[in-house]
Amino acid sequence: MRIADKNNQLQVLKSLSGNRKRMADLQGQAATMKKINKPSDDPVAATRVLESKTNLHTAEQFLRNSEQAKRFLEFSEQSLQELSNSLIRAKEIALSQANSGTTNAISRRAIAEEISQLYEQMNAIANRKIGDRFIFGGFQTMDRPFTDGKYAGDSGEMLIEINGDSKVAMNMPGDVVFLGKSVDPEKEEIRQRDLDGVEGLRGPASVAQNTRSIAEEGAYDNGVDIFRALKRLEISLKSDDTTGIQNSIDLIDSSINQVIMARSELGSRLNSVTNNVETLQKNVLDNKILVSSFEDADAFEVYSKLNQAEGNLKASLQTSGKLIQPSLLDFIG
Amino acid sequence: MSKLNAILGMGKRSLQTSQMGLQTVSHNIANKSTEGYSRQRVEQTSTPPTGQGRVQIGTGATVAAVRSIKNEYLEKQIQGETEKLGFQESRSENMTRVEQVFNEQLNKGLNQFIGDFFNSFRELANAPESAASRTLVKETAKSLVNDFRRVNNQLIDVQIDIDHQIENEVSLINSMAKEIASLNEKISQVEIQGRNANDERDRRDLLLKQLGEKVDIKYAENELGQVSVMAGSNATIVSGFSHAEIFAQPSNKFEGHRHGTVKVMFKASETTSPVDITKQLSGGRIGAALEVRDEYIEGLLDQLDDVAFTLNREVNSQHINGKDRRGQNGVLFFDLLQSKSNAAANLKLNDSVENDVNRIVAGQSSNGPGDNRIANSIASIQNKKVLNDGTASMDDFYTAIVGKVAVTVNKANMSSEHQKGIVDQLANIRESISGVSLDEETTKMIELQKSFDASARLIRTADEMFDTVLNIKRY
Repeated sequence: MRIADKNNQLQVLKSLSGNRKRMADLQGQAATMKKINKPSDDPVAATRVLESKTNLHTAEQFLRNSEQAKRFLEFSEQSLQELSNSLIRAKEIALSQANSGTTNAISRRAIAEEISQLYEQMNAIANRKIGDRFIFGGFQTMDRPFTDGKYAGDSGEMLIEINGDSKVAMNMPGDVVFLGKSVDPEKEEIRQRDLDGVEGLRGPASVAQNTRSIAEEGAYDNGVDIFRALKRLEISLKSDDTTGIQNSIDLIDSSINQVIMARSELGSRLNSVTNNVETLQKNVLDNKILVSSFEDADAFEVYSKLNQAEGNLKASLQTSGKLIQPSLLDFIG
Repeated sequence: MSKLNAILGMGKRSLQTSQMGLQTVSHNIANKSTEGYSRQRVEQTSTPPTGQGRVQIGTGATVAAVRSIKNEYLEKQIQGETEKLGFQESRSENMTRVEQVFNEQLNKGLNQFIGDFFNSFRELANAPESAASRTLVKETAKSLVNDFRRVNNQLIDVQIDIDHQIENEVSLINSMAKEIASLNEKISQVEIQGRNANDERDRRDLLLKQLGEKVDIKYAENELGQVSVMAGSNATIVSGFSHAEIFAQPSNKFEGHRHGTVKVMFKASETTSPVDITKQLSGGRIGAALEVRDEYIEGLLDQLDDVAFTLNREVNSQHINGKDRRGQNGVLFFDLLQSKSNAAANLKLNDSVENDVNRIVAGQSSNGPGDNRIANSIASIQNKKVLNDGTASMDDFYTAIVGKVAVTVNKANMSSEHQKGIVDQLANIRESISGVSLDEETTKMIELQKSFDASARLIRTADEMFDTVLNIKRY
């Protein structure tokens, strides 16, 4: 092939610009430490990165949600534990005072004071807050749910999305705990629909197990109005009514059952949230690894390639000089 | 019959031919870097000999022609491939700008803003009572709206920039067409006299190549050496000595375009009215620019509108179902969009939501500050298959858009590189045939100088011979 001067020039330009482009690409990678700086660098990887980043952000949000649900559930559970302790104490008192042989009216009246204190304690528990939100008021989180044993809240359950396809209720409405309301079947159905076919996270406590019908004002069928039960005990003690005290024992027993059911429900929800947190954390990690594997440059690889490219560039500069420089003109005088 | 005069005459002609040769050498050297130049060679032939008795005696040499060394077929091939290169390069450049709009590798983009928006409703579901989470919803919604607008506007900016490119290219096409017409005239004038119009032809080939880089052309040469050039499928821009004008005309919202997009008009003569040839142009830089502007970006804008409109519809329909923080009926979250067209540009947060975060709806019941049911259902729109006839979620759909852009740019870049390789290869072959080599020219120069020297010496020898003859009588 005949080589004209332009052939040399074209070749030199081509190899130099090729080398410089490679250098620039690698320099970009070294500066950002990313293999992909724009989607077209690797379309498949870029879309995977985009998907993973979305998953990552959602999973992080679900983690925040879970933390929030966990805080609510833990606090509710702790409160219910205190509540059942108080009720057990009330039952002890009732049992000790039920037998007319061992105690008398004076001691009953004295001990009624303690029941009154327990009542106040329960009232305080029923009106517990996280931040400025009442936890036992259903959706009525801004108003005191219980005044003198009267419930001002509703049966709202605040569902929190803890992963892409399940939600968990982070609160237990006061009417379930304190008034023994069982779950409205219609509402249950709505929630099932919300969950889009995913099993509800509700435990067995939702159905109050008390089979005895205790016709109590304010309480739901098969449930106990705990405040009223305690109040009744207090009155029976004060009025020295042993039959009343004995009746109260049954009611308080049912109350304890009711609270334990609610607690175990909260416990099972807490459990599923905690399990889910583990899954989410793994999910976050997996997505981070995936994103990194697609877009992060391998430092060693980049630097060694950069060195190589630099060597190539120098070599082509050197040979270019030799290729273009001389002509016959340099050798004729 | 041998004559001293003949030797003088031959010497003179020889001086002339070497001089012409040297002149051509210097022309070659001077044009070493001229684009499109083909090296020229003097074709020297011996003049007809004369007979002297039983012998034939040579009478020297003369210049038959000055010819440029080039492969016409190769030039035509280069023209065609350069046209493809112009197309590929322009497409790759413009698509790269489109890609930049969707590039979320290094900074936040629409995908993340959509995610943030739905996450803010999850935050609201966590704490529907709190003003902070409501403000978060408002702020992320505003950022989302802004980013829809940013993507929309940046895409339109690329369209507008393409309009400017087309205007520039079109004005260059006109000046080229004019020059080709005048070269046609010169070439036919020179060649009718039997001479080769080498330099004019080189220049014209170059112009045809550059013209093809801009727009798809077809051309043919007639027996007079004049080329006719046709742009697109039937706009004859050069015919013989005359050229016709094409021009770029800005238009207002025509044929389904949402913005003043430039169209290319062809005016065959002073008297005819201009014809729109925009749709005919499918090659070269203009062809690619038009394709990106009218098909690609328009398609992307439509898809973007689709996402914005769906978001608007889905969020609003949930939002008006609930009750706001004060227990009043929910208002629209975004201003209601009547149609899909321009949805991305028109998406806007409802003023009452913007001015008062308590109007954001979290719950269903009128009296329940902790009610988060609507917030939950708005958040769940993120994974609902609401686009593409219920086959894609908003995330899927948007990711698919980015993926498509990425693949197209990637392919365009590769085709452009590939085409550049082809053109480079052809240019290399062309230079090896037609390019000037200094070594060659220097050798030629020495050769011609020697023959010039020798011819001069011949004249001196003839002169001395005359002297000798004239001096015979003196002695």
